[in-house]
Amino acid sequence: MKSAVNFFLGTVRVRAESPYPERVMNICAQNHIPFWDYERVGPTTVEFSVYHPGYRKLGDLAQRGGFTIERTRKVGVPFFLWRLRRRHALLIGLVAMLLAVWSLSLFVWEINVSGNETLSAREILEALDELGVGIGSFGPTISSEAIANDMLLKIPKLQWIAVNVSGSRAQVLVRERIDKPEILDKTEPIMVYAVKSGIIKRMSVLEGKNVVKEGDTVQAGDLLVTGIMDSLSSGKRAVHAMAEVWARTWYDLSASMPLTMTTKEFTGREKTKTALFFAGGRLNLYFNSRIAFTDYDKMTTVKKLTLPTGNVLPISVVRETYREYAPRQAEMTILEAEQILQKRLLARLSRTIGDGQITSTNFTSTLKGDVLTVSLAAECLEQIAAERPFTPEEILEMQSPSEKEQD
Amino acid sequence: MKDRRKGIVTRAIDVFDLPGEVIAGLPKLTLVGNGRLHIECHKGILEYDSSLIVINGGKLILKLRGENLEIAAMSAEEMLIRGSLLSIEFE
Repeated sequence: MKSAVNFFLGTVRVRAESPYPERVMNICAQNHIPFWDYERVGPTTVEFSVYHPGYRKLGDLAQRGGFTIERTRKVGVPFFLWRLRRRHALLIGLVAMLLAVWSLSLFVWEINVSGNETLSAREILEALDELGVGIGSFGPTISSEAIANDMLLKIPKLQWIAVNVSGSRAQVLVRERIDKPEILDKTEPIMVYAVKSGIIKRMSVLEGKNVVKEGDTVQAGDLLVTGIMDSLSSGKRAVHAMAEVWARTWYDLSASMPLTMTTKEFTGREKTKTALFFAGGRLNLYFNSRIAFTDYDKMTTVKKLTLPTGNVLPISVVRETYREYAPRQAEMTILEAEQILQKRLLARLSRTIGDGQITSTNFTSTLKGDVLTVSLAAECLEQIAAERPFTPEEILEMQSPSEKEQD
Repeated sequence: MKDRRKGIVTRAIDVFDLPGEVIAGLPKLTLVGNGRLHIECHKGILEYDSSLIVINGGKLILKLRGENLEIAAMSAEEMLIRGSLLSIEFE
């Protein structure tokens, strides 16, 4: 530790000549010049080490004290820097580096979004970018309050937002608005109708009067439960009809595909291009952007650079890999093609029926030339009831005969 | 007169338990074994060698004899001597 301190302060080995060498030590001590490694070289000569400023002081004292000093060795940072004083480019480089560090610290290089639950960070970052806050924006010009106000108008789902810029990092804190729960208006006149055709298997009417019963066949659009109820006092009254109606439904779907198809056979030849994304710009680390392959797949991987401490740097490395392939005609067996098509049909059916369940399926395959067609006949059990408001005719029907006369 | 005054100072030091090295200009020696000697209130070095160090102690002259003696640190008031001390003489 001590030698490190000595190195930074710069030490000088001094050879002093005096008829009374002890005098030199006393002078050093009295003038607060620290010295060490005092060594007697001859009867009138001593050697010792002092710090660089001490040597200068000693030079002034030597004349008055009647002794001579001589520098035998000098080591340390001050001497090294003194040697570099004429190297202007080095000095300019140092100043330029300090300026660069200082000026770059004024820009935003990292934006962290926290507190978002349903909104994605990407949406928030995009909205911020449109308001002029993004990677590379000038920090001191960002007005947190103005940005927060604009953001609340831009994204209505946000209830509160704070943009804190500290150095080159921007912290975006958000709170999302909690949606008002939908309130069921029980007085609103509503009819329940069928959205799909089928045979009713199960009905549970919560409000209103059922028009059809279990076992009935209904067409899409047919009324299932009416909101017009009989009333003892005024003849008729309107209610908000509510019902769950489960019905057996049938579907006929078909899909086809050719048995011969083109597949890719990779030749093993590859070309990788690397580029850097930095401050919104792209820096290509290659010269020849031409791809010599006729048929190729392109794979792009983007990797954000991080420090070992986990801090994300504003630099992304983009690697684009081009893999050459040769197109090849491949023949598929009927069984393979059937399986693929069956899977596709079932997926399509599941998407159509939503929450419902498939009770039975029947696949039939036909091969016409090179094309295989698979048909699916399926029976399902699903909820077919949906709500709609009264039509004008129904409203008219609601009105009592006396009111009709008045009209 | 001088003797009388000296007597008063010495007596005052004894009576009031005062630090003698400050009042009377006497050196204070702290010895750790025979390898380290810390001297406070010295007035300079008179002779310096690896076997003999002579120190001006104001009212006393200290003669330190030993082997491989060296001054590890020195300031206007304090001094640290290292080496193997054989004797300390006062004159």
